[in-house]
Amino acid sequence: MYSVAVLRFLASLDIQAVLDSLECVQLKPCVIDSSYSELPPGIDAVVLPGGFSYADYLRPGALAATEPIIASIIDRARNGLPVLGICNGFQICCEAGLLPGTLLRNTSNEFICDRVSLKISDKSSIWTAAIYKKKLNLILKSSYGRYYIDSTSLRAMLDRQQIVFRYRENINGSTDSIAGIRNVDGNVMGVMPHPEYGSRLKFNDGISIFRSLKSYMASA
Amino acid sequence: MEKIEFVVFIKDEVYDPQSSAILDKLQKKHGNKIASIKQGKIFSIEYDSEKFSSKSQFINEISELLVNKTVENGKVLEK
Repeated sequence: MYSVAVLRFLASLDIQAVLDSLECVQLKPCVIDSSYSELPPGIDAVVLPGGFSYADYLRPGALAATEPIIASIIDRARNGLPVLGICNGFQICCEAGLLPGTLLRNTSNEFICDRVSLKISDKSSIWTAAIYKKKLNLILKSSYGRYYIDSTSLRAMLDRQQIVFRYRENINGSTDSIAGIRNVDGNVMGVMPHPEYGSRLKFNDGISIFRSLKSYMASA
Repeated sequence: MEKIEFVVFIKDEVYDPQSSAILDKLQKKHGNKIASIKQGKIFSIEYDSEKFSSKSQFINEISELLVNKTVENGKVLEK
């Protein structure tokens, strides 16, 4: 059984839902505190969960991105370790330089907690290979969910097919309606809505992202 | 020890809804006497200047954390 580290930062919130989702697809979760200096041996993938790490001090994800374990994750990600950042985890990935761009306050200035529908923009990624629907219904809950990247970098991302998910209705003002992106190599993905709540809700579309991860690990 | 004040603002080309909301409220009270407003952050920092080769080296090092260069600019507040 593949082991997936779930990082716990000060004020991470959505850990249990991630654990449930991983168990739902027969992956073995392992909670790792962010104070660790390195990932333990035998870890096959990492999930950075949602929440309000360090209470969003300075910028969401900025302080968490300086934790020693992040350097270890960056190092392992360069060698192909799959890393999934969800919501605050996505913000941490951007602040740490694992993913381009950043997440800003929603244009509406509101905390958005709503069901959103996503288009799958990259069906060939390791994160979407087991998604058989044309759209995903997920829960979005964030104040700083507006993905931003400058136009030059956006063009580069489009050329490299790094955009994985787009909102069908751009609810938070994200650049190019972006809801989820991957790095150039494809092994790191950040997504703002929450796939992990699929294990608890009537619509369980998000589980297919974890199923895709498992399929990838089995084939690697 | 030296002390500086360092300010960080969102870049002009990046929309900041918080500044817009503040401007909206001020303009409702004062009309077009208020043309614009930009919310930022200010950091008052004491540091041991002998531990850094130069002030600019110190500024570069703190900027790595205090400024998200994708969307923000940071500078020392000159008095």
